[in-house]
Amino acid sequence: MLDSAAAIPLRTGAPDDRVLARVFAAYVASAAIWLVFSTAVGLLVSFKFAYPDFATTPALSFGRLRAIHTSGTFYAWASQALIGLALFVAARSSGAKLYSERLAWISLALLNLAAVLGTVTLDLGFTYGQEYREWLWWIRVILGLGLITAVWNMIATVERREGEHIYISNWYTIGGTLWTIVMVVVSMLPWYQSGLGQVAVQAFFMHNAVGLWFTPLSLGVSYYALPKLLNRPIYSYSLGVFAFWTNLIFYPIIGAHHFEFSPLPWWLQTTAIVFSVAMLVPVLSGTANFLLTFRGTREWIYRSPAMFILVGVYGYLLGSTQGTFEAFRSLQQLWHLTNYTVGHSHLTMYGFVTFAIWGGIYALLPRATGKYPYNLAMGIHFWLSAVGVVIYVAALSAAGTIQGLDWFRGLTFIQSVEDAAPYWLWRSVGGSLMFAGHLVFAFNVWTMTYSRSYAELAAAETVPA
Amino acid sequence: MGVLPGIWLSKVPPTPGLKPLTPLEARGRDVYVSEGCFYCHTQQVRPLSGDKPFGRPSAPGDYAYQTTELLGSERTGPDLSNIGTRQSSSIWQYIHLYQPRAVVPQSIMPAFPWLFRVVDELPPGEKAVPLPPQFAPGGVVVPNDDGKALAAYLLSLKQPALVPTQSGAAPLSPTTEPLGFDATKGAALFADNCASCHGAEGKGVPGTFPPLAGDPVVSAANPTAHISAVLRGLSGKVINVQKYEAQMPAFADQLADQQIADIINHERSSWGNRGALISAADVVAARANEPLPKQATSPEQVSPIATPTPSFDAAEGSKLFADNCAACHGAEGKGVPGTLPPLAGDQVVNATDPAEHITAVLRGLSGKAINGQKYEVEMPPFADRLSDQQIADIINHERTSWGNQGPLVTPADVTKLRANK
Repeated sequence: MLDSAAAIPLRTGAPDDRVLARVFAAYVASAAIWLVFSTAVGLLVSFKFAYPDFATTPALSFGRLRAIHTSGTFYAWASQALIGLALFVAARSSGAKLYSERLAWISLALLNLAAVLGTVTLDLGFTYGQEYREWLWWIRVILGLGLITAVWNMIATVERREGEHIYISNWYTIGGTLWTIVMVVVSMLPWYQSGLGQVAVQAFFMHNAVGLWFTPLSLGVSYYALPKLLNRPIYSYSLGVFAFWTNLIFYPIIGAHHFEFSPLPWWLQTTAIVFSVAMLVPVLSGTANFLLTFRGTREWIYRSPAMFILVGVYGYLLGSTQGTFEAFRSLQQLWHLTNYTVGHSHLTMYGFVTFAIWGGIYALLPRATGKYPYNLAMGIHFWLSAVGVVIYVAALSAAGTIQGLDWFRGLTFIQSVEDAAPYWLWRSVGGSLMFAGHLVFAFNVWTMTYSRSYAELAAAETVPA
Repeated sequence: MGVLPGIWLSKVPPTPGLKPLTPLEARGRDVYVSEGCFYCHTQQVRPLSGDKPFGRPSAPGDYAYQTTELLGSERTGPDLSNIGTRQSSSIWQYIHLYQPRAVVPQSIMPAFPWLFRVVDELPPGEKAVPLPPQFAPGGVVVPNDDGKALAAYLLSLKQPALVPTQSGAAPLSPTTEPLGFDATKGAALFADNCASCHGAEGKGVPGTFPPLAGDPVVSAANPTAHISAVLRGLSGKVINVQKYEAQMPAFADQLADQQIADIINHERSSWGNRGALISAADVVAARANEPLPKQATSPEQVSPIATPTPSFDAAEGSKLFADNCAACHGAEGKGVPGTLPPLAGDQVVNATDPAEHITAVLRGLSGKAINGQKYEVEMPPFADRLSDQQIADIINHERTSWGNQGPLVTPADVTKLRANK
């Protein structure tokens, strides 16, 4: 394609760009604060597995903090960061200026309002009681309004593009956001959600919250950031389009694989398994597209933010393929309901989504603000997080397998708790490394946005196009 | 994809015998939700061998009154679908909620002291939670309204029996004609593997779990379809114009050929069914997917009747004890003196006449004084939950462990006392 991202000129210094940089920086800074907060909560919760009598008060109890950790990482950290990136990509890839700065501030304010209210109400014990949609309905309305204003801004910005063509990143980000808005509405209406009906809706929601929101946005951002970093076009534009449409068609059907062997109708579970296998099509084509874009790069990429995207691509490949295999009944017998699932969700939400976001931020934020992070600090962040998540996922995969085998062998239940305990401690070790990485990331965000570091001055002379 | 199944599944009728929650229990469910119990405790029993300790496989109608649904996605703690039956003592629930490690030392469940209040004097009409001294906060602990509601909700979680139990466990009638297979074994295997869905009387739950009494496949002269169903499982089958969605699990990997033959022969010779009997060889053939053109084999070929063994299976006894008794009496039989009676060195457990010991397990106990100490916690009856063989195994485990020296019992002893109402 002629108008690939690398070919679109950057126009740093123009007033439009300063508006865009300001908005982008604010989204990333806000998201980084939520990342540090939510993962601090996650770390605290992980230590409760080893020390259950530590911090026994209602506000610090496991049952309340768990939802704060998941909702905070999902709807505050990842969502704010991805919308910030998507707005930036929409403007830059279209060669247009942001449709409305004010709308962007309104979205950010709504997202933060929802996150603050959600966190406070959950901690007071007010919850909808459904995984990943714990926030009370009126808080989810605020979240939905945040998404609607954001997607409006994205569409209106892309509308102003110079050429006729819409760059592929925008398909992913706008498509994903529209789908998520539909999903938030579907998950909120009560008429078809009683008893087992609610289980069906929950299966639909909890899976798509990941696959139709975080996946397409992360991929879309990477489709823009990677060509910028490597200074070459994406390997195949059509493969990206193909992966987009297959993802959109297959994904909504596979949620019921979270309830295998449950009283949900057997055919619903089977359909979900079939389409879980079909998901290999978009996953493999997307992965191949990225890896082929990387092909032939030299060792310099090991010192570049492209490494975050590379880990993200492998996280996408491993996490999604693992998801397909987990959906098979034979393996589900062993792994379902165990900690294996928690390992899987961290491989995808962290190894893929979060790494892809970091890649996008390190690639694009300096291009917007003109301030670069210290290479050493970026490297420390990378290694802490990468080693941390490997320990985390390995420990929980082992713990889950052992739990499943214990149940199968008919041991007493408490035996499965005792057998998993050492691995839970390893999980906390991995989690501590990840959290330390987030502190370094927060420092890096500060260097890229509001500080006046010498890195800015040094790098300003060697900015690549 | 979410909405259409939602509309349709929201109309599943309740399982017969399922009771809507009382206002107190409903409040307890709100506490359960707001404290996030469902993150670690599932309420779905799958038709898998690992799920057996938690109850029968869950039926769609079990959730008719459950909105917010609480099936859960993770089982860091045990499944609670049937906890009201498995752990029916409210005092145990209170101790466990106040401090789980007071009754289960290895537990990692959070403590919920904010569901209780500590007072200087017991208010009238309240019952104190009898905490072991090392966990007592100094003062009288009583549950607050949320605590009472949560305990009431937990105790309400009882899977309704899928078979009307007006007659209790009917004794296996001695058959007049020789069946040619080990009827006792067949009945026991059926009870362990099949009765939770198909019912002890083979009546199933029409519309949810197919009845076996009078079923055409069970009574057919050619047993191929019957054997194949047990080996490979079934689902979505239409029987008597009724479509059955619940999944029947495959038993090919779980049971030996002889066991499958015993089960099938039990089904073919009970509840008025008169299907031709089969042999283990037929199961082998069906496993290999060979058609069975011949009539089933003659009875003589089938297994000899097993002689009852006087000894007991120590591993089985220890496992059953761990599943059913250790939560209160402790894995080491030490109990929690003053709250939950120790079994090590207990007089009844060491008595030569086992009648009192067996009766306690069959019918439960409460308010009994042991060594001058009155025990308030109610011990549940196990008569309906365990077979005679299982109860004998448990009792023999108790009588041979932790320094106890009571003489052993046989399942026949249990049978006798069971009848002695």
